[in-house]
Amino acid sequence: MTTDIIKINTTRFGEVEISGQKIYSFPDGIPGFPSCKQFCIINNSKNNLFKWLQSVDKPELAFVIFDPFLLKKDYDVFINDEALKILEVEKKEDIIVTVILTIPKGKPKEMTANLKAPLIFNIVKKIGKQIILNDSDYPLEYPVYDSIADDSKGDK
Amino acid sequence: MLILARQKDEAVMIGNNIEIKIVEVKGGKVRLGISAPSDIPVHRKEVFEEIMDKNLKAADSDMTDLEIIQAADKRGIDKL
Repeated sequence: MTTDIIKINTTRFGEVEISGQKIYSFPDGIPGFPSCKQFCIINNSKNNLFKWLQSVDKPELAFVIFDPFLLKKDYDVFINDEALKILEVEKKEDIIVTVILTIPKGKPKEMTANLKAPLIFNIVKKIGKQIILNDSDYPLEYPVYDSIADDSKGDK
Repeated sequence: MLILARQKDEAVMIGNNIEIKIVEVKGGKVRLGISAPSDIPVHRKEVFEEIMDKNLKAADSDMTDLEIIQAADKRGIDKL
């Protein structure tokens, strides 16, 4: 079996080597970046709650992604037929839901999560898509810092 | 851009299977009924623009001083 290692140029992490099988295709791109159709996941060595979604095509483009269920245990994601088709979903277990964080420079405590438009990944087919939850009231800017700080606060 | 005049309860067809009907006209507001196959996404334009704008801001995120944040337990995201 051949392993295809692909070298990706990134602004934040320099040259990164990644297995070609680990690259996710985003057939629609991501709103705001329609021409970026390939992304890979880069782990954050310091804190594994946060991962980077790095564009393969655009070295400077990377999003911080996060597990929304750590913020809202009852986060309810409805994926419509159009998205299921694009994502080639066969069964529920193939799907992972993440959200994009916005972390203002120098002010990490003000970070927010976009719960309105989660990223859906088909981990089997390696396809991703950002969907919009039109029928729910989830906010575009959900405060993250307080939620996770509360969880890990044991004493005080 | 094609411009059509329509009254209440009249409709426009786009292709064979997308129908846009004028449901109500009141004040400066028009209510539209949209029938489209489930694989055609329909969004209010401003919602899409909001998401786009948010993504552009998110792309500027900075993680350098994130270590200060203590980890809760990790979950499903590790399977990516």
